[in-house]
Amino acid sequence: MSSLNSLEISSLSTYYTTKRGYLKAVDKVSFNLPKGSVLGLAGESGSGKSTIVNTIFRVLPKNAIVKEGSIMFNNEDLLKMNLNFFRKEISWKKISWIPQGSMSILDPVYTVKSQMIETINAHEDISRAEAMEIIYKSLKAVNLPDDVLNKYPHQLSGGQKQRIVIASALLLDPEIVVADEPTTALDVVVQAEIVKLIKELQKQRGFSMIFVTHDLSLLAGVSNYLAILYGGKLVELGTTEDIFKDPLHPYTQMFLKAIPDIRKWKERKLYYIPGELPDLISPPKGCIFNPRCPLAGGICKESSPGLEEVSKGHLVACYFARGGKRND
Amino acid sequence: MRFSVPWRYLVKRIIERIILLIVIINFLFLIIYIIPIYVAHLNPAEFYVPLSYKGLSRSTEVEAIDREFGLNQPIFVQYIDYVKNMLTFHFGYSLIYDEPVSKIILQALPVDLIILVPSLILSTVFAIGLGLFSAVRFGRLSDSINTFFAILTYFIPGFWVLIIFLQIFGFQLGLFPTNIAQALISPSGAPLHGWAYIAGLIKFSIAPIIILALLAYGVRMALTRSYGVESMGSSYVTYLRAKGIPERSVVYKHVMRNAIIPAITRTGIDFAFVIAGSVFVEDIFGFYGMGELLYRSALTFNVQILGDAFYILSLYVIVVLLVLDFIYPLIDPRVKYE
Amino acid sequence: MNRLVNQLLHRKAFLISLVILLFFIFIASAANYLTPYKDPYTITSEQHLAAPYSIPIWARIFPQYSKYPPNTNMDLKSPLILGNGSESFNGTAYTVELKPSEYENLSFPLSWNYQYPYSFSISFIAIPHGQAAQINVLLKQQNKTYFLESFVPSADQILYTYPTCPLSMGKTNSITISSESLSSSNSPYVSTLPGNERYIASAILPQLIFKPGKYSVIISIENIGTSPLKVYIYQPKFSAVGRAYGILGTDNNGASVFAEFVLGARFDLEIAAIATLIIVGIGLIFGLVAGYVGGKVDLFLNALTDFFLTIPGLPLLITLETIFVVSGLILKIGIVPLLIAIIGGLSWMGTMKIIRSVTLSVRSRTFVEASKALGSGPFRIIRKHVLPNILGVVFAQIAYDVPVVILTESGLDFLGLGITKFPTWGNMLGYASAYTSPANGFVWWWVLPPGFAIIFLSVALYFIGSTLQDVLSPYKVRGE
Repeated sequence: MSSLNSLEISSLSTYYTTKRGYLKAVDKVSFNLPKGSVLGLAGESGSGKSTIVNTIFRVLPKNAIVKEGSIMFNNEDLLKMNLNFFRKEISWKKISWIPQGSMSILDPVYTVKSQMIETINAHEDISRAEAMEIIYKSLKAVNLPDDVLNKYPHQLSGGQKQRIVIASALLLDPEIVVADEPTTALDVVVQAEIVKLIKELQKQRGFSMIFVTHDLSLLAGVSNYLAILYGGKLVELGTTEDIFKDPLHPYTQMFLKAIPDIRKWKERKLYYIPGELPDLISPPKGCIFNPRCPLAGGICKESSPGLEEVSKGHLVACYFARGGKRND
Repeated sequence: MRFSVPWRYLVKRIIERIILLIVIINFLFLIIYIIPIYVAHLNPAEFYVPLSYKGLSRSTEVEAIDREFGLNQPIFVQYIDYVKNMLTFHFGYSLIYDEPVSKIILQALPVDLIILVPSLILSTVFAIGLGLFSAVRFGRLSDSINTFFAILTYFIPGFWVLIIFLQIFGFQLGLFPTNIAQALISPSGAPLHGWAYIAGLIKFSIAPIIILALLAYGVRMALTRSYGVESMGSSYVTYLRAKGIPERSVVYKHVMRNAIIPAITRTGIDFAFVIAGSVFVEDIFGFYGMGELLYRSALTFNVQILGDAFYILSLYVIVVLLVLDFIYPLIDPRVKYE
Repeated sequence: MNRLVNQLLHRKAFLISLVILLFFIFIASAANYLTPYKDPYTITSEQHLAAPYSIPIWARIFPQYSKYPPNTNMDLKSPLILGNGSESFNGTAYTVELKPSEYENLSFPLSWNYQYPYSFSISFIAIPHGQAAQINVLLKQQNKTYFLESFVPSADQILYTYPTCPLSMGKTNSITISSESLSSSNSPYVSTLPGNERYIASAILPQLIFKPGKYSVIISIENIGTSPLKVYIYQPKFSAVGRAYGILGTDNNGASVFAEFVLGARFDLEIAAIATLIIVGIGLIFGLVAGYVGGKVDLFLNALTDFFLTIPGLPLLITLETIFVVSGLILKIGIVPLLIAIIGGLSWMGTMKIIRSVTLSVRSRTFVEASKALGSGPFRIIRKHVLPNILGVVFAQIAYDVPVVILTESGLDFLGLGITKFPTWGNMLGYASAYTSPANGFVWWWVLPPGFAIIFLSVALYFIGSTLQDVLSPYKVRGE
């Protein structure tokens, strides 16, 4: 494990067992999260983003199994660790999670305060006063008034709930934060505020972050690196700059085009990616993207391309993108 | 959060319930006065007199009752009187029992509470325990069996189980007293007092309490289970686990708290209707509560007592439901006074 | 449609429930063929078919019941002849010819493999020709002889120290000796019993006499006159009322529990069917109107429903029924329709509530809005959009409500407040509870079948309803 990376995911495969067979939600995905940096993990819904997050926090549903792979943190494999040890010492203390602050993310029958205190007490043996101090500090960090503490989740707005979820993630000063679609449920104005807040917090505190989203436009000013997922496979990986400037995988290219650009809205019609998401229980033969791919040739229907480095730090899984060849 | 009395809500609810009560009184007036007079051409006074009373002829009695209760007055005067009497609990005197009606009802009411309330509590314990047991084992064989038995209890006639139990364990094996009178006397036949009386009462009550609890837990068990399953799969449970909350806390503090709310709510409603359904257990185990009072009044066609007992039972239901309206928000923070 | 049937047939719970329901429908509709009895409660000739509380015939496979006798009826044949007269048998009659003071015993073998019966009787026809005859009837087991009755011409009765019965010379005497009519005034054996046993002889005689073993029924004829005697004996028979009867034994009146069960099934299914119609009828109309029309109508109907939901049901039922009985209206309407009307009339609220809420939600959906905008009338919208959507819910509601109706009706019958004059499952349990005491033990063949039938029928209806809801509900997302 290189000391430059705070998290190294290698060859991670997570499957769900269904009546028809395995659903390969995440298939041999590898990427590293360099220390202090932000990695954007992007893909449509069903691409395996949430499964990766659930695998990291070891909260997969009962029918899921990790087929292979490792998630290395400080030279230890999170997946092989004793679960109780992981829950107490790693989860939240070292790696915390900002989920989508949706309706049911907080237990509806306890106040915000009691849920936050419970979180701290699960990891640290400190007095109530000390815990409250920590809570006040993190509330301040997310610009929430103290009186939200005595409220129940249903009494909060979507934005407030999202801020509480962010504050909760920062309670124990983690080294890594996984922001999992933190803005999806919010309206556009609040969305911008939240992204800004997360970005600021990351700069101030210097934690590493995985920012999971289906909306590439959010990542533009936030992430240093970008990993594009499609059908459970990593199709492109590189610096945000490289990928935005020079997307190599046909899927990435289409994905980027699908972002509505407010400056050019008159010239461009809304772009969408034709075709349907692949069936992950019996995926198409060859490259998983081939049924929707405008470039697909014979080889694409035969075998699946591996992830290969095209230029320094820019990896892509496509036969026609090799060696920087462009087909357009 | 400081608790403040929700006056507006309180007043609105009370008014609603009073209207309901008046509707019930009108309904009773309809079936006890209007139907006999206008449909069956029967003097309601007939309902109030026994076949013989202190040697008076029946027609003399009926006349006396007519005067006493104003039953020969115009119907609207009777109506006003009836409503007034009901609202002020003036039920009059039962010639059949030779006692004031209110005294008869007041004697019957508490008897139910010894058996029905403990069994309700016990069945709630069963419901929550077994419901959570099933929820955490969702989809497994033990869950299926557990749930099937709970559904089965919806359809088991309580009186059937009670008589089987009574015959086998009471009569054949002699394991417990088969009626309350037997429980409250010593083997020599002298009535029990003090601790012995209480011990006898407890010994007698245990069997009906357990049986009733077993027959009634099903609905609430299914509620607890389905809400528990929903909770177990909800995103806040995933989030709690990720936050490193120990699994024990996740299940027993969070999932349980969420899953028992509907069962508790339902227990409240059952508490309101519990006395209304007590006829069978009282009849079979021979103790004299409201159910038995209703039943005997029906068998002896004592419409007077029947009407008043029914009114008191409805009043009890209304009051309990009203109290529940105020308790629910304390149990479930999502419910608001509105 | 095919797909629907296909889906239904793939559900085990549904199939089992259907089989159970069909079973009950079968026994209810074939009641007239399954049992010859019409109403064992009121028709006395349909009672006393066997001993009260007789066990079912098949229950004799259990060791404690294995020696219980069934009803027995047999011709007595091949007698052993003993005596000094002469005797002949022509296939129908035994002819005994005796000179004065001669006697002849016809000793019919009877092998009895059971415990004591409820009662027994020995019968034959005797035609004595001559001056005077004494006919004695005895039961003999090894060395014990029970002198049951003695018949002599009435003029001679005074000569005997033991009780005798009159015999008409030259006429046809139909002689029946039944344990139930034996007493110290007509039976020599009974008159030798100790006092306390003598008085209850008719009840305990079978017990005193019968245990498994070889018996002989002896018809002993003696010429007590002074001239020759010729006696014809026809049709000697032995019968016993057993303590094991039919498929489900007997009740306290000795009536067939199976007959009651089958007749009860017919009634319970009828009430289930009619209650379903009432519940769905009222619930559907009120629910649709309230949900579709809305406004004040909705407010009123909803308040009405809440009223019926708030007042305690069973007490209301009891009160209403009593009023109808007391005011004599019941005589005009009849208890069965009244009971069904009251129970059905107090059970529709759940259906109304659920149909109302579904109608409300369907009405506000875009496709209904669109349909309205296109000018569809309310009936068309209800038929096209609302009804298909509530079909599943209606079935589910039936699944919950109809069992409750069956339970309620059975409960009233059990208490004796409902139907008491003809068999229903409920009043079978009521009578079973009232007439069994510690002395006659747990009458399981009487108590268990109606209870299990109620449970099975209810559970079957529940699973049929809930499966139909599952399959018919358009919103239901079915898992892979």
